[in-house]
Amino acid sequence: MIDKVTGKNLHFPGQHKGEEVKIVFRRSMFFLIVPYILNIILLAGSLIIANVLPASIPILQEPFLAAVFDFIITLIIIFIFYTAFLTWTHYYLDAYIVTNQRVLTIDQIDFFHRKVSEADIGNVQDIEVVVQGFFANTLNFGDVRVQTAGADQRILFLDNIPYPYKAKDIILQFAEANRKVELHNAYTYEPNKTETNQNPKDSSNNPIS
Amino acid sequence: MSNQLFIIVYLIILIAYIIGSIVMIYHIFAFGINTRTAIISTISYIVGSIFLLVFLYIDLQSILSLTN
Repeated sequence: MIDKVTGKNLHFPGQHKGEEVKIVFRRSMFFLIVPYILNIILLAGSLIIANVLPASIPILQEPFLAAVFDFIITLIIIFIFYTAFLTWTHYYLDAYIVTNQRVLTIDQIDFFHRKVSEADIGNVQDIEVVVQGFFANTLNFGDVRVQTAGADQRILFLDNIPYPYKAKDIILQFAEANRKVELHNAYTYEPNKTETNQNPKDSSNNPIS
Repeated sequence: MSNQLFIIVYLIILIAYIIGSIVMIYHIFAFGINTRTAIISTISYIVGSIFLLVFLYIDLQSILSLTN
């Protein structure tokens, strides 16, 4: 099963008019589960400390200090809860979007720090898949590098996405479909008729970021 | 004096937490691609936060009752 989201109700900032999201790739769940395991260990540790420490340190049995100790433990639990949600937010906001016009990589580096790269899907020329390391091979995730042709050559990095070989095939299929539509539009173009381009590509009017 | 100190500490934590939460929720809604996911995650986060902040408030009350 490929970790993907599909549907017409998906929208992203900088979406062009008539642009339809075809597929969304995210990083492997491995990169969400590992920080969550650390969070659970931290949570279990603080709960164990909350139960064991007052019994072993007599000064913490004094009511006032016990109340302050409980306050600090609750504060640590709130911090763990906040970091867990922060981890999920970063995971959710990093996305690799394939539309009927473009391939976009959105990298949420930090809050108020966002990096968006895009390439015309019709210009996708070569896709390289790199699966490196023990976890990447056993859990089946890897990097996909999308290279475009033409004067504006660029490489997009889709890092640590699940099932990278399937992802490569899917991107190539969409690229091929886009090229067919472009070719069809070019052959059926009538200058005197009102232009009804099925696949508008004017990215200069609507930059992504 | 001790009471006021604990109340100030609680208020600082509360304000910092609320500001941090607003920034996070803003990012989810502004830059996320799926509104339904954003709504569900925000609701669960708010419910969890209220639950934990009420716990913190109960701890604060017990501290304040002991310092009186």
